[in-house]
Amino acid sequence: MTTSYEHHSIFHLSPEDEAFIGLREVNPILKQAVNTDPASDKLEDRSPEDDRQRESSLVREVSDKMVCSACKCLFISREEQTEHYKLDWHRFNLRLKISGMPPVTAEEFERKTGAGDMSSISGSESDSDEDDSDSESGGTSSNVTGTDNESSVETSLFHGRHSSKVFFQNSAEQYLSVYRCILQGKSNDELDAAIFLKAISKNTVWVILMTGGGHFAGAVFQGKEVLEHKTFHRYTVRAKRGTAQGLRDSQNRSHTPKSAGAALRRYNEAALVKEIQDLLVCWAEHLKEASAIFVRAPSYNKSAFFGGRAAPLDKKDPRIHTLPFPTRRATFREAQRVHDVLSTVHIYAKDTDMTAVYSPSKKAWKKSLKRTAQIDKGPEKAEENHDSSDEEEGGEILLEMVEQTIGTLDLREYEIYPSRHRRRRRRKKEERKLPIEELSNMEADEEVPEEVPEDTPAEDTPQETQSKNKRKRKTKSTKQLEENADDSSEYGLKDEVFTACKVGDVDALCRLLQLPGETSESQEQQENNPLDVQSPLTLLNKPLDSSGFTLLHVASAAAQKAVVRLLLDAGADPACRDNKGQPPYIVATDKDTRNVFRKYMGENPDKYDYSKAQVPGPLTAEIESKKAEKKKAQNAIKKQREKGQKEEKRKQELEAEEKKRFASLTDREKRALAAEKRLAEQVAATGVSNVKRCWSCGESLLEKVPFQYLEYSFCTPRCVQEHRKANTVQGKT
Amino acid sequence: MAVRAAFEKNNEIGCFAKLTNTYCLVAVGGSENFYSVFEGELMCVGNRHGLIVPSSTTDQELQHIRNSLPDAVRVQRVEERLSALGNVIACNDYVALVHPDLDRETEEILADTLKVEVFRQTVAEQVLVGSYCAFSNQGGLVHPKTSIEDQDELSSLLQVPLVAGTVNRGSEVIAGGMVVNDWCAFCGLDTTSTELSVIESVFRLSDAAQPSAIATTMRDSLIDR
Repeated sequence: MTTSYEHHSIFHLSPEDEAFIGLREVNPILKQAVNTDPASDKLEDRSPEDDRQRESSLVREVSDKMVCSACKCLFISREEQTEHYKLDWHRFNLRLKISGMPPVTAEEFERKTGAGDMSSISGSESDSDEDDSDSESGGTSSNVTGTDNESSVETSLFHGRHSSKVFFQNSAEQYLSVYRCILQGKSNDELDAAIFLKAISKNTVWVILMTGGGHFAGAVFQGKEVLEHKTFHRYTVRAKRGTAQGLRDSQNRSHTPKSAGAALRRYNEAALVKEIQDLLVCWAEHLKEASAIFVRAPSYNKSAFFGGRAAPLDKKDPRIHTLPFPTRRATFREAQRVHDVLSTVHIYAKDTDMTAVYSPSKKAWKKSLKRTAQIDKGPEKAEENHDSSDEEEGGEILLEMVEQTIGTLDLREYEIYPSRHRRRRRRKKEERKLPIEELSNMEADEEVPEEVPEDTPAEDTPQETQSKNKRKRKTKSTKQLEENADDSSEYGLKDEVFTACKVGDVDALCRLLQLPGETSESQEQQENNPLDVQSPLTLLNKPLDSSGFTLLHVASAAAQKAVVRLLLDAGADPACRDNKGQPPYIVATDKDTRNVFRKYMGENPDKYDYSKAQVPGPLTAEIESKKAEKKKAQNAIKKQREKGQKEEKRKQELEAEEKKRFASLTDREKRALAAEKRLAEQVAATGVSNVKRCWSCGESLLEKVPFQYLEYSFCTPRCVQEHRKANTVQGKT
Repeated sequence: MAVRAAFEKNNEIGCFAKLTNTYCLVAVGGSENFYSVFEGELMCVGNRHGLIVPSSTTDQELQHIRNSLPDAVRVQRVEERLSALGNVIACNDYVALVHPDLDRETEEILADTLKVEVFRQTVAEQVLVGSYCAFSNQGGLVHPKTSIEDQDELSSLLQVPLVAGTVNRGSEVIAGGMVVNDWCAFCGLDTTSTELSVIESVFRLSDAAQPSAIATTMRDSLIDR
């Protein structure tokens, strides 16, 4: 439905405006003659109680009155009766009867269900279905009440609930619509309304007060001018539990929540109410001269305006109206929007279908309201409106909104310090991030005092930086190292060696320990300084960290096989023990690493005290190969055994299958089978497998047509002859 | 013949026993594992053709019932929202009166298992038809406040003569206070003799006491064709 209209501000329409001439209120609801069917009472009047004596029940005969009391219908035959009780119509009427409502006729029921057949309601469906039919029945009852009744009900209904808009028609037969609430008084008198509409002028003072969710916005308008406005916000809405707590606060004094958050909320709620009331006291003269006061407050916020001993507003004041449309968060901008909407007059052309605009259905009305509101704003306002959705202080500069900040210092005792906690946690994280560095730092802390007692922690930082640069410097020359062969370099060297052992950096380790295999240059250097006490090799057998690990321990624990080998070659003693008394062989985590020790033992049986190092025995290539062979043999044996087992299993399965097959045979078949077997055995015993042979010469008769006489068969006639001759000789003798 | 009886000092014997022409189920006494069998047996409904038990019946109970009843009696479990079947279904060997909201499926099972015609109707505006009426193949007793019209209707529906009455000295919960088959009725101990005489006459218990009745009126119930 498209209805065109123009809109004006009510303040711009002077009482002399032609639009206002001959104004009269109209009620565009056309009372349609509701065409309900005559609700024909097709119910058979139950015949006045027949003369049947009541004593019949005492005689106790089966009654022959076939009637359904729920549906008010008579039956002629028993079949009809039994059929009836299976109908949905009957079930529906039964339900109506239980709920004390009059029954519906079959026709009505059919119409209601919309289906021709009466089996549309399935009994096995959910409750919602029943609910539907119940509501349906509610509708029925009103429908059944009859025509005259019905229209009166409808009209009263429309009188009972005013639309939020009021419509006028002027002499030009244009329709004007304004919000009903801007018209003074609550009466519906059309004359009154027109007068009040005309009374609104540029000097009319309106006050708009909005609150909700801890926000308050108030504004005083004179015509289109803003005289005063004020907004403030208090933290009163808490998420989740806060809602429930708020409810409990209002219900029960003794069981109010005692959490810090609840206390905060309660304090702020009280503060907000007080601020609103103070403000309204300041605005008392505006309130006094205002011709209308529009209040938007959720029920629980109403007390701020109407409650208390010195209530700023009187609930019964006829000037006070609630806003008839939904609003957004209470801000000054929103208050202005509300003012605009309220002061808009819609003027419809005279040929507009007013019933479409003024839809009696509430739902439809809401829709049209929304639409008008949107169009109402016009293009230049729509934009403003758009950013108002996510705005809050957007219009601050323009509108010089007064934003008040409220100190909450007095609530300090409830304050929580999450930031400090977070900081501590962050520090922890850092520690975790750099475990190796930390470890080496720890070493430094322990080692340094031993050797250089005057070393202070303050020097730690330069040491660290030095150690980080160490590698670079080392590569330059060892001279520098000698010069810098102070404690810090000692520590740095350790650090690097430790790291190299840990990560398995063999090259770096070689370089650091100046082992053979390095550049000849460094070898020379070493030879030049044979007496140098600070030779890195001295590090080899020194415990490095708090747990007493030597380099070998470290490499072993880190399962760095190449490093272990290198260290053993370089002279690191595997018999050195850590603080727990464990040699490196024991701290090794995997077999391969341990094998490195054993192999080394096999190669250099006399180099170290292996029994002290707890290395169980040498591992040479020979032993290894032997072991491998042994393992292979074991595997082969195992495989064979498995094969055998599989075979056996298969046999067992076959046997079981045969058993089953045999058991399922009939006795006769079993006997036949046994006989067959016996025969086969016999044949096997005589060594003859083929019994189809010539009786005389023993030639095979397979695939031949034999010569036969009596039960004998032969390959050739000659054989027959022979056989006969022999027989006759026998017979003769 | 109508006899007074009590179950564990309780007059509502209808809650603890189910009597039909071919069998009688009795709840196990409190001393035994009373409660397990209690539910299964006493929320049930049945006639000589079958027995319907609610879904709350355990397999064990079902097995026990199956073992105890004659083989000709079919035992069937139903998934019904109104699980106190005894309160929502009243039946004899030919017809059953059921709660208006009973499931369609249950209605069909009833018709199949008990071989009855099923009617949805109320008794004295009460939906719990199983509680407020009791009828055998011979006659029936209904809620005392059932109107004459309703009695006529029900009587024509059930094809048995009906009388409005009470048991247990005025209790309107008829089925709770008594159990009845074609030859015998058991009422609560509180039942007055007036009530007893009404019961005897409407259920035709005095006629059935004759030995000759076995060959004539009882024949149908006793012998399956």
